[in-house]
Amino acid sequence: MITIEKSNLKNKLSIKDISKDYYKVKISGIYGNIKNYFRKEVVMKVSSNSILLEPYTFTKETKSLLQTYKTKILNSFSDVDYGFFVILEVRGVGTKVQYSLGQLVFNLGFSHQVKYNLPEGIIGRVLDDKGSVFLLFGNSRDLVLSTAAKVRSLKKKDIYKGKGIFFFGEEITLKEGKGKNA
Amino acid sequence: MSLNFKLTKIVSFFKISIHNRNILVKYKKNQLLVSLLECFLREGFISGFFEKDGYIYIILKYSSMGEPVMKNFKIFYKRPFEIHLSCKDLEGQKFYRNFVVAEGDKSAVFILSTSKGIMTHKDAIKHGIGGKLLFSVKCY
Repeated sequence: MITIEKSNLKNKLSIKDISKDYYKVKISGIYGNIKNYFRKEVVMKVSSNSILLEPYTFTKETKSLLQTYKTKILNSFSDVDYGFFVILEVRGVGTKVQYSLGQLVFNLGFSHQVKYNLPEGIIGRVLDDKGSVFLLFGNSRDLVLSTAAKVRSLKKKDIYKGKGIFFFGEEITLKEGKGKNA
Repeated sequence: MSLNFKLTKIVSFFKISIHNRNILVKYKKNQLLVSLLECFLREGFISGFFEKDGYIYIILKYSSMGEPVMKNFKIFYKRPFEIHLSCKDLEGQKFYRNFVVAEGDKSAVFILSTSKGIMTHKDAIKHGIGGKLLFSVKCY
């Protein structure tokens, strides 16, 4: 059994209400609403000051479920108040990003430009004049990280020259290619 | 540059970028700005900040209706007239009577420069110290 008390949380300022019907919990704050869906094995009791998590039966599976649900709720509390952002970087000669009207336009070395429409609730911005570093920002970390993974899959990583889309500050070891005389 | 000049430059930068409803802004790196931003992040006034190539990028915060979270900056630190407050002054009713006029203004946060760095007046009461009054912000 786990209790999460509202008085211990960081953000007392902007949380307005927590509501629950059956196995769905809605948390609302300054950045809108987040819905969390849970399995039926865990019972949830929501009051105005605290949330109580309790399993029907004590097994090994429900014990670990409690901890994952606890971190999921705590993460969504901080996302509603602070938001979540990821910084990405395009590397390689002739590569570039531009942002216009809700879509990112990439020059990745193909014969054509690649356009990616951002989903609703996610903001994109390009940080520098060269057009190499850009930022994704949203109110739920599941959506932000899943769009970052989709953007990264637009161009396959090149191990020999170091081209591709990376997280900011990520490092890879380059492979040595064939020599001239060999 | 003096503290007076630095402070007015930073505060007017925040005022303009909030008025224009900018989400992402950048400013040249500065020790005063970093300690101010750590204060704001603890209070929940901004979403986050990070450093890149000698510049600091700040993500400003607005409500879902488009209202800014930070409001009504007011600078108290002006060079010949410095205001020093002890911990007893901050706790007392006299402090609120002098600087806070209406009853709805109790949401204001005062920022002080103390011997343990720059902090809000709530943190200064916890540590039991006083300091020099710099400026005040109101939250949404």
